[in-house]
Amino acid sequence: MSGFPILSLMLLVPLVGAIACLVTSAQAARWIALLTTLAELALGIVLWANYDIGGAQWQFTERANLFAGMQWALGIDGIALLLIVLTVFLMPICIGASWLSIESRVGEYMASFLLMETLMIGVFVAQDLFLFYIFFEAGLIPMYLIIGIWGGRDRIYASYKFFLYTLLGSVLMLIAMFWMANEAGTTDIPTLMAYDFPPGAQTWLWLAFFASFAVKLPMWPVHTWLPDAHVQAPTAGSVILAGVLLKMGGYGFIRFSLPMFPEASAQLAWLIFALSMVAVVYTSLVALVQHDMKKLIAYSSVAHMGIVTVGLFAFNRQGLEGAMVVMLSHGLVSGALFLSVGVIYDRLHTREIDRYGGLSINMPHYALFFMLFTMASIGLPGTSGFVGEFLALAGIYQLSSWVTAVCATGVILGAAYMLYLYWRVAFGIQRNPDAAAMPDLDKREWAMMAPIAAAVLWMGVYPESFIAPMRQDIAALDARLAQARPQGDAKLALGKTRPAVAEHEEVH
Amino acid sequence: MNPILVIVFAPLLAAIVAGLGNRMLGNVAAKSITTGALFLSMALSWPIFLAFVAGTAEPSLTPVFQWVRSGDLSFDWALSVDTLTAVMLVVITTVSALVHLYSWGYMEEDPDQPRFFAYLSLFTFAMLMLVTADNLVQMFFGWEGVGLASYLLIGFWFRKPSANAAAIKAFVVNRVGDLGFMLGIFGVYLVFGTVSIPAILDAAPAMAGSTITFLGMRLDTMTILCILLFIGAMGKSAQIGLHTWLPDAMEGPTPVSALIHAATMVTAGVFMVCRLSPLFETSQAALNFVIFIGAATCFFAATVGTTQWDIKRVIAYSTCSQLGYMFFAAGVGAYGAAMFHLFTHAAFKALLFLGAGSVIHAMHHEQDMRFYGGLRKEIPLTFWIMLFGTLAITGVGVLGVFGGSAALGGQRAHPACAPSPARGSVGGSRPW
Amino acid sequence: MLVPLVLLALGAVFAGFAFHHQFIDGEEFWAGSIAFDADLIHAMHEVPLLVKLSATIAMLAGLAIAWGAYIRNPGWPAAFVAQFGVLYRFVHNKWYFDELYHWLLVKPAFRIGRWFWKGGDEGTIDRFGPNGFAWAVQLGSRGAVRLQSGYLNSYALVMLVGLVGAVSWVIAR
Repeated sequence: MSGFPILSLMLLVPLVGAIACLVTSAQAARWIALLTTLAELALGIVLWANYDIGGAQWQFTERANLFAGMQWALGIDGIALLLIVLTVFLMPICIGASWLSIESRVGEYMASFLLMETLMIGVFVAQDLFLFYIFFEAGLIPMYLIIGIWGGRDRIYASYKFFLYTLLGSVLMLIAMFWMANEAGTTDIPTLMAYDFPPGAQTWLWLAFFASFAVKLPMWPVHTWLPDAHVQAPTAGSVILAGVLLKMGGYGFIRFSLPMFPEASAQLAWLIFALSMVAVVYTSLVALVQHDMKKLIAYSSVAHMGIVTVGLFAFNRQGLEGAMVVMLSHGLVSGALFLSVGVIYDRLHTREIDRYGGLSINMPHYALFFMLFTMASIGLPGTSGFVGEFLALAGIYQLSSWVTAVCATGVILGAAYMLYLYWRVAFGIQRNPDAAAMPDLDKREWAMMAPIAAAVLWMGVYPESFIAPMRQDIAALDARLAQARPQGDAKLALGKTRPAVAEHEEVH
Repeated sequence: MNPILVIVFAPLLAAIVAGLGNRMLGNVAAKSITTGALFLSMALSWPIFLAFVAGTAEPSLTPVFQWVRSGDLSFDWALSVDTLTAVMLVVITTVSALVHLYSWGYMEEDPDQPRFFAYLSLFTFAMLMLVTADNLVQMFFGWEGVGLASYLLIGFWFRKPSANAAAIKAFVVNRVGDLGFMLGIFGVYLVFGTVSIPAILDAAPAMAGSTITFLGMRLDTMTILCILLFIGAMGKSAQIGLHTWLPDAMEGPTPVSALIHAATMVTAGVFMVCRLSPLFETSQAALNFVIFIGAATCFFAATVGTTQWDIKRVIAYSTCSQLGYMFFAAGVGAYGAAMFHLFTHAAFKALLFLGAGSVIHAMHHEQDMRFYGGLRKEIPLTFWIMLFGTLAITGVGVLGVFGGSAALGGQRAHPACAPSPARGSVGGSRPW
Repeated sequence: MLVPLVLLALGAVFAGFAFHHQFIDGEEFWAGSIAFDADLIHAMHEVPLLVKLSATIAMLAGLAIAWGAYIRNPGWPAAFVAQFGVLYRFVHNKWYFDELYHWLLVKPAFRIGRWFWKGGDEGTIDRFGPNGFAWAVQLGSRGAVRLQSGYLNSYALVMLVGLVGAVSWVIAR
């Protein structure tokens, strides 16, 4: 594989597909988009198969000079690889979800999606600071378009909010990037990851990046764009927003904030912990009282991202690997949950929970999938949700029992709001005749749900497939963070009179 | 092929086939597959148990495959069999096989039979994973798996709002306990650097007397770890404070109450305390906590049981208080006695529930005992069976042991503790 | 349905007798799978006969009460309830655990959730965040009102202008 520019090809293929979609008829655009994303999925599998676990840190690297000192620098490590695989896996499913539900301006819609695929992959493969910035920010434009043109009734307000939040963060990040390029004399990300910025400057740089990533992730209190964006976006838009776009924030933390500013990360970890603890409890409680299915799942996403952030800032391997697995798992599970909402939205055109009920009577297969994804969202062992959550919380426990205890309440509240949702949608009696008349999943919907279900179980039962590629990179990051690692609050102290006590207690 | 693999995975396969096959397969095929798988598991479990009784068997560990490796935290899927597991194997597979068989008749008129049998088999699989666990995380897997099956089975008649509410309540209340269990596992990993049960039990005595900070408090390490793990056990075994789900769980079909909410799942907490007994032995304070909770539950449930009208709720409260006895015995250090009570309790409590099921069946699903009376003539065999069960529970040959261990602890609970379940049960069974 | 009942009945009666010895006294039987305190078990066998019989006595007492209450004098429970109404209600309502949890945990969870949603997200964060920004823009400039026209290209333009401005500021500095 060496020498073949597979990453550039992966960026190019969807772009070509996007242009082709613009100039053809609606039905042709659908097929072009599907075939393009499937080809991209095949490339992703080739990439995964050829990735050398335990080999060089950066693989498939490409370097070429562009204008103005910018470099076409591409390359991936295991962390990026997994997020790319997640992206190419979800894209064909998104196209499938839009197959019938998008009727107007199909060519433009498919083109936006394919363009977004290029840009999302670009974020994960870019190794130049400014190249990353372009992909990172430009990736939002197709999303604005998807929400703003094919969205629901209040799409303008939603896209306005989305825009306002992200703009604020991105400006600060850009300024920080200029400063860094100036200070370190390079825009090469691998070099910057090993560069020691002065601790005083690190704080400000960290905060500037934080502003951008916290909005993307999103963290409390800058999360309010997410429920609106999800509610207004078409199904596939929600899937990709929850599945991949949110992960860019987490990826940003793991690629920039932690390795480039380890001291500032340790110094400001309390901020992350505080916001994450609030996020988990606050948004879980808000999710409990939602009437709109998509809003409920959107709020639950914020709670799950709270677990990601505490895991990332646990400064140990369990926390980091756990956070990555939560991101991958959440990408699959929340994507699948939005698809599940989309399936019934397509039939009844409402997201009001109360309009449904008793769906397991007339849609038993749907109910089975929905149950699986609900349980995965709750974090039932054996599904992907558990592995990540468990590792992330085990990681943070070594730093602070308080943070763990508060974040673990999400386990209880998560069960409460998801099962309450499931009851109102799939159990109970059939309240409305139109909901009772809905047919079960058709072949297209099966083809969308079954692969995700398989992936969720795979990741839950044998997560090694997903942990192995990133193990070495996490270890490297862990070593980089070792210098700044804060001390845990447990402070285990061995007893002095140990043997005597043990003997005494045996006797009773 | 190693028999333990068949014992554990046959119910899973049967559940998948019956659950996914559902309507295509038809009632009889689904019921035959699941029941057959369970009888196979039972047939393979008894020789293992009897070999341990005869003293000819050695503990064994059968690795299945790798699960998670993250830094120095690693845990795998593996099936471990020792005496304690062998006892649980026969309890689970026998009661489950008999309940499967019983359900052929009990659920005969239900339109959703394959789903019911698939859930029952899924439950059995999860319970078997729990008792064969070699590390705390696989135990947690089984722990949550039985919770899922319990949720699905309590809410089996999902059209009823009360069944749904009870199912969610069961899951969420158990999750409160699981929070403690999870924190306990994290703490164990922090202290011992592993989650492997044999390794922890070996290392535990060396940690006695050490201290640790938890939520800002400076505490004895082993005490806080044991109490956190025990909170998990309290949730699963419906001990006071986290017991509220168990009476409501009677919304499920009666065979479910017999299998899950009497004989097996609710005893998982007792099993856990016995499995981790060397850990609990390192902290007298934690053991005192176990004794206190056991005794309090025993007294509480017994008083409530005497005043309920619903036949199944009476038995549920009786289960609750019997579990209290088991914890009490474990707390005073008589783990063998706790397991003995678990073993016999499984038989007679399943019997009482199935007998109650027959009564309910005969009474056209009337569960309020105030409407019963004179049933001895209607269903004579059930009368005698209920009498057997009642005699067994009220202490012919069983509770004597308990009087002994309870007295030994020097912490005799409230005198009302013992007579109350007896009164409840006898009172409950009087009309037949 | 009767076959399992009969089998379980046999188990209920005989399982205890058959395995009593191994479970209670079987240090070799448990073989280290549970903590086994031989002294404790030994001491247990040494307790006075009365202690060993205490559970049986308690059972007989319970049986006597049940026989008295339900067969000999069926009016007696009602009289008891009338006499000790408060106690009876307390016990019959399961010590009010469900009510306590409902009042202490379930209802507040929903109330706080609604309050966070309406008061926190919509009433505070959105009000002073994006909506407040829009309000300020509208107040400050009539021109900006047109920017709220809803056309995405104008938002994209604003973003671009913002970026260009920021970049030029950094470079010029």
